[in-house]
Amino acid sequence: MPMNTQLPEWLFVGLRTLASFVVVVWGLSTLLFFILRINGDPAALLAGPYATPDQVGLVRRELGLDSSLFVQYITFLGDTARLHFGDSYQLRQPALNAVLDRVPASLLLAFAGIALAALIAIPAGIYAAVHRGSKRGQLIVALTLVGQSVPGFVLGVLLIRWFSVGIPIFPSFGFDGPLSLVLPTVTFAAFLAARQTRLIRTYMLEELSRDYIMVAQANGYGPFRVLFKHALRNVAIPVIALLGIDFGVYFGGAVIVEVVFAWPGIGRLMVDGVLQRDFPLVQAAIFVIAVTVFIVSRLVDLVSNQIDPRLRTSA
Amino acid sequence: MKKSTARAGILAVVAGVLMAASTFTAYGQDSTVRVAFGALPAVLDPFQAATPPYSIANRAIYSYVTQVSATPDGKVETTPGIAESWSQINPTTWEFKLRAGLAFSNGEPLDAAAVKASADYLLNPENAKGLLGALSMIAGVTVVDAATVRFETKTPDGIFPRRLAALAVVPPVAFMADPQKFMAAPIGSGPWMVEKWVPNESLTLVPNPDTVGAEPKSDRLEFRAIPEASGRIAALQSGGVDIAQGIPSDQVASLINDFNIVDKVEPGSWQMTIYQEAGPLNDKRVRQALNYAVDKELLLEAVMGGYGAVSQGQVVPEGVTGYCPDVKAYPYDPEKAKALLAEAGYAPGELTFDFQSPSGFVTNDRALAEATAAMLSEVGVNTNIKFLELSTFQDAYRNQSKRAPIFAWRLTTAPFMTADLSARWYLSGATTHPTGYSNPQFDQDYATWQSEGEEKGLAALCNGIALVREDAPTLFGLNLPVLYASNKNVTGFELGVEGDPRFEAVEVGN
Repeated sequence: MPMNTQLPEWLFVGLRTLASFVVVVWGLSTLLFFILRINGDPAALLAGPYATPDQVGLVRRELGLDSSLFVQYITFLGDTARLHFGDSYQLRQPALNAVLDRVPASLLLAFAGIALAALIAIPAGIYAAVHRGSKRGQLIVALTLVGQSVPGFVLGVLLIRWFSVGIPIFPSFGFDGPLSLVLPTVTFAAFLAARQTRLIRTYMLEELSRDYIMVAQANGYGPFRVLFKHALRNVAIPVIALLGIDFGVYFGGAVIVEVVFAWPGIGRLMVDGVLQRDFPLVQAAIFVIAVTVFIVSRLVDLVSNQIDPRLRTSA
Repeated sequence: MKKSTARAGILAVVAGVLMAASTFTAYGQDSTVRVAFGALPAVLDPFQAATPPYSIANRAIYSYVTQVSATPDGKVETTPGIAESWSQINPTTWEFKLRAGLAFSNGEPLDAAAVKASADYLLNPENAKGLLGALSMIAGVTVVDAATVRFETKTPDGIFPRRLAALAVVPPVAFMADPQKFMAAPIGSGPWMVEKWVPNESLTLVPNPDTVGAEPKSDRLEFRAIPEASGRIAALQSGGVDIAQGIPSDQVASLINDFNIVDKVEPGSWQMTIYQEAGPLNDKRVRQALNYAVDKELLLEAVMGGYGAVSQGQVVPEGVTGYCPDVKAYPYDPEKAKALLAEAGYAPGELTFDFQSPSGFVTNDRALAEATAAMLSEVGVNTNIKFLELSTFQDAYRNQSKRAPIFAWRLTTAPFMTADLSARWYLSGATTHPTGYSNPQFDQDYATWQSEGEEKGLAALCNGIALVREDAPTLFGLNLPVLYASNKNVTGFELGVEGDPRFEAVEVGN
């Protein structure tokens, strides 16, 4: 690109990244702004069953929903640009604060789930690849099918039945202390681990059939070194990329796990916000999720660059 | 041998640590009462609503000018709250004598000035509070002396003292300084004080030694929001909570042996608005046919597990002021329904209506709608069910143009426990749930009832309610149950007359 010659590369990349972020947030917010307003009426909800139409009108004015959609949209764009999301209609507190309060629980669950999935999937996937065709290898593949096909709400309820009601080890709800993290994390990780295992197995099989592996083996390197130093390094790149995407999906989208375990995450807050047409809350949640996903995807890029020298050339 | 011993040792240690940890974190202190609700309020706003989930938290924290209680013979009456007595000075003026020496938990005096400040805040339309509509009959409030306050009403209101069971009183200095901030850490004179509050998620309360009413018996009360019914039941079964709200009626059978089921009939009903100013539903015979076509007893047994009651041709159940004992439900009579449809000129299968139902926010709403639709199809009336989520539903409730010909909804008369709210839907020109229905005789009967007082004028109201039953602008349904389950070691757990729980007498034994 011609710009490349005038700006230092890091600055150019930084600006381009920022610009793409702004476009993504603007696009998302605009889409949401109009979709949320297609039907439903937050003022009627707040005014209560006794309210006369006049009283509903008052609430509507109070919420700033009495002007035309166009005026509302312009106001909204200006506010969003200054990161003023306004007060949540239902919570009567700054929407951004309400969302930020939920970030720790969501981050923790997403990280714990993805970490547990990786801890299971990496050894299981490698094992299944190395011992392909063996009984144990096939068992792992069969288990991944189960893991991928059992829905989260079923597994979650079963885990509660077994480990909260049956043997009361773990709390069945809420976010109070490390023990309460266990069941939601396992529910969350089961599907991910199954998918990652299959993925790692497939990539690993592919890598193991390559020439360089044979060369490495011929050079007398032990199987451990061949597997972990050579093959896994190549397998890691797509796996890490997928983990990054999973994080994006599950940071704000773990609604089912959050509902089953009454986990105070962002997903449930946002769904409630949508149901009650709490526009400021939903907008703030989308913004926070976008920022988080953005940061994580940059981190994934950085890590991938470190692992794979081919990615280090500039775009 | 060695290996397996080591493994067993590790397992034992892990199990031990987990057991110990779970004892400390989840199931510790005995004097705490833990309660799981489907939802907790978004904000501890005493002026937002007087129905759950708001009322559940507010009743614990705030106290009210009056209370509504049950009489031994199953009716309702107004009983003292902050006010110990009251009298009607003239048709539109009521004077309330407050108990002496009351104070809020922050030390502010709980006097006539506090009552006036609270009422004025609610009545100011600028504050746009949800309860304004429920108390908008108040014209003004005057402080006579520290212990006496007068309320003027816009029109005579025979049961006005009962209205003030919805008026929570807040400490004026702390509240007016910053209402928003106040609600994050509210101060009241109710039985409990807020120790910790996480909006929508949890509320931890401790006893208020200076409460207006009875002081709680337990050291701590913890409300948790667990949205899924199965999650609330699991929490109850695992000992994570002592009491759980919103037990689905089909789960009662599996719980009834090991837990106490506490239930109450809600002071309102689930029903369908079927009046339309044009089209087949403008024909009374068609509306009556729909009423005959639905087997309410079967709905009650099959969908509600027998909990609740069949609405008796009117919205409110027995016990609510304005209940008319002589008005009865339409019997289930599919043959009569078919005959009425034929008489109105509709062949079986000719009529198809859109049917809107709440989804997920009224007890068993989906099952009730589907069962009703099936019963209607038995008499040759087809329906297309559309399930509405909360916000869309509210919109349809208030706008005729967004409403389907058959519109299922739920009304509760809590906290006032009077039929005037439901009766108002049938008045000519009603605006909150406009249907276009009009019956001048009903309008007149309603006015008589209002001017004579809700007890004395009952005969007039019941005349009107009988007309409405005959006109059938509503497909009358069920009075829904309020269902809680509690551990066997929980004592003193009660539901108020309106169905909200009371925790003051609750104790958890061993």
